[in-house]
Amino acid sequence: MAVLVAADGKSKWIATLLLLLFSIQLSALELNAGKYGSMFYWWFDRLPSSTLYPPTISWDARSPAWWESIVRQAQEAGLGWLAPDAWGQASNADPATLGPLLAAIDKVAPRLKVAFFDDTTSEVLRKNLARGHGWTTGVRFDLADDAGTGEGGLTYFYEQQWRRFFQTVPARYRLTVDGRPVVFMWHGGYESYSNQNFFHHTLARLRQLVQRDFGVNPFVIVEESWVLLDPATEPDAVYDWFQPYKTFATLRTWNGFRVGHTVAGYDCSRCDPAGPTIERQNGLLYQAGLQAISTDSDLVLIEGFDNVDENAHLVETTAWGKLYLSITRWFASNVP
Amino acid sequence: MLSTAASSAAQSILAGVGVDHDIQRFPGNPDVNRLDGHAAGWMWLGGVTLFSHLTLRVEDSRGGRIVNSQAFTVDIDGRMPAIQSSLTHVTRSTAVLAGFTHALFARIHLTYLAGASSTRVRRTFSTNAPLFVLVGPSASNSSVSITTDDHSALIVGADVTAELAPHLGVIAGIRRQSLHVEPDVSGYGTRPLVGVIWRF
Repeated sequence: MAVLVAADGKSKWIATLLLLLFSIQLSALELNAGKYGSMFYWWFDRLPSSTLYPPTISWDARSPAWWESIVRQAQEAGLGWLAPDAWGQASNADPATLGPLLAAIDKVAPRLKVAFFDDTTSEVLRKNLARGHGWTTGVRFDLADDAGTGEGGLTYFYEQQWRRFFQTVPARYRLTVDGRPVVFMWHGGYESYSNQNFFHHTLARLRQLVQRDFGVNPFVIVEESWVLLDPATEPDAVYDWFQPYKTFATLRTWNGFRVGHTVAGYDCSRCDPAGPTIERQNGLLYQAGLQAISTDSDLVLIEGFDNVDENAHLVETTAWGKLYLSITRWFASNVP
Repeated sequence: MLSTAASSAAQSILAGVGVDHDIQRFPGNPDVNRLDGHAAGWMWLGGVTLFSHLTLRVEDSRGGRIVNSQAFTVDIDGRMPAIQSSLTHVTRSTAVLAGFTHALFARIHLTYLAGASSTRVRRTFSTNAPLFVLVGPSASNSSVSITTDDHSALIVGADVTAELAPHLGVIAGIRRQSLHVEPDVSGYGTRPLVGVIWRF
């Protein structure tokens, strides 16, 4: 471009125009779906005992009818995308088992997109199981050990997780930002990971592998804890997962991209072990959360569309009917 | 007298201004609907009558602000802030209509119209929630969202004009058209109107 500028006046104009067009392209962050999306869980063969508010639909993910009902309700809520909470190969949330979701999307809501959510607790659990420590987070995952000779291994992230998602979910189903498929990564944690300052390297390697195998550079949105643990991390955006008794709605800006996050309520009083509670207050808390983040977000990640384990769900129940679907839809319609 | 009126209406041009009252309804779940309401606005119109009975019109209606305000208190870790929000929308509609006109009495004409409307709905949502809900480092740089939707719709209407003086008259009428805002909210608007017209 500098050569063009030096050539003559006409070339200078062309160069300026090209530069302008390039700048416009750089600044445009284009989503291929509505900005509101939600976490999605699919490991159910029955309603968990921790569920306090039973959904109105039969709760069995082995049935295609369950997937279609979920997708239909997502559409009714005006969601643009779902983010399946993936736990990796050989788990009951293996991204390779998302075929029924795609079939339901084809049948019920062809415009609904899918984002990949890497539940980063799972890498620790799978590594420990493979290492003979059991299904536990008791032994930390070593991010410096790419080869997996010790207590780490990139394969737990890539071959067992990311690659299986990209192999299973074709490009036309993926949520994209500027054509780049969206990947969320959950918490990093001092208690679960060692050599956290290698996370930037892990992320860079994952990008390289996705580009090598699928020809796309993923738009990676990490939980803010990762950039605190490793400031050298270069994600595309950052979000901040809710924390009971501290915050139920967050909004973070990173590289100019704004990600909001909220939860309608949370009640883990029947979980094992018992956990905290965020009172729903008949939907008022959810409305306050969405009002707080919706006006200034490029993307809104809601926890969690069908999280009946922790009573964070939005789906229709016998307790609140379609209240949370309606609230979500209102924001999707009026604060798009 | 009748023949004079008919003759003057045979090929006439009219222009006018008026006020209207836009009554909008969006059916469906009230939880999803804060768009119902009404507002006064103003409009101008121009038209021509050909062959005594054929009327062509251009109308531009600029509606007033329809405001839906909401307030509630919510328990946020023991605090009870009042969360206030408003959804304001303004509708502007430009329509091309054609129709049939006939004399009801010597100086009074009835006109039935149908046509196409190009409509813009501008929604503004504002809230004070970020102030009370977000905890640093979370921050919202804007508590206002503005959305503009354009759509085309069928519009129908009828009006009556009365001649007060050789060129001056009054018009009263009604218009009805469908409304749509993205992604999929649909309703309809009904606009009674009154105004003054000038026939050239």
